[in-house]
Amino acid sequence: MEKIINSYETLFIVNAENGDEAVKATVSKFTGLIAENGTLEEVNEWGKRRLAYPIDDISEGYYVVATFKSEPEFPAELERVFNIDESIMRSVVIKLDEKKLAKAAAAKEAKAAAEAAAAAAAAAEAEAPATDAE
Amino acid sequence: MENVERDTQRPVRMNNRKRKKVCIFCEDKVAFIDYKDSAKLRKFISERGKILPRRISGTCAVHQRELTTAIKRARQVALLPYVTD
Repeated sequence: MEKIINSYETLFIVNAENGDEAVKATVSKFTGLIAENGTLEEVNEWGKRRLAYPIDDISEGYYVVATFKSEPEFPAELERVFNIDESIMRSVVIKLDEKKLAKAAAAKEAKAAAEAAAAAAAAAEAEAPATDAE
Repeated sequence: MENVERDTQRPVRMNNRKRKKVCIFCEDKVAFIDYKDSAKLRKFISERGKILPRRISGTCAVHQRELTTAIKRARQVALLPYVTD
């Protein structure tokens, strides 16, 4: 049977009160765990952010967003480990809809292309008067 | 549009009130509503933090459904408040 590989995204909040070293250790622990069980695609560390509401009387957290591809069994395991780790304040793992991802990428590309075309047109226009002047 | 002639008989207030709202997400042709974009989601919650109904926000059924899950996810990870007062 062919292996099913899905795209997932996870966002977790690390308790920032234990110092930068501890935060770094936790982030690398989880990115490592993801890399072992799938392919890590993108890690985006938002850094310290104010929480919309205090969690355990703490009002700041270190946000990390990571996207990865893995087999469908892994996210459950990841959530389990998230819940065990004391320094993780909150976490969420969601499955990304690949059709929608493709659509978003296509839309982004189209927008970039349109912008490039507009820039080219502007450049051509800027050049045209110059050639007229000659 | 066929009713235009008949409507002229009635007071104008009917015309003023019946401005059709168009779903913002359909207009922008968004691929999916991102729960991480808290600035955008904030427009769809009330001052108290409640999710605005469709009748007020004007979103279509498909996007309202997506929007509610996005707001709920954002609440889970403390990007949006559950309550504010």
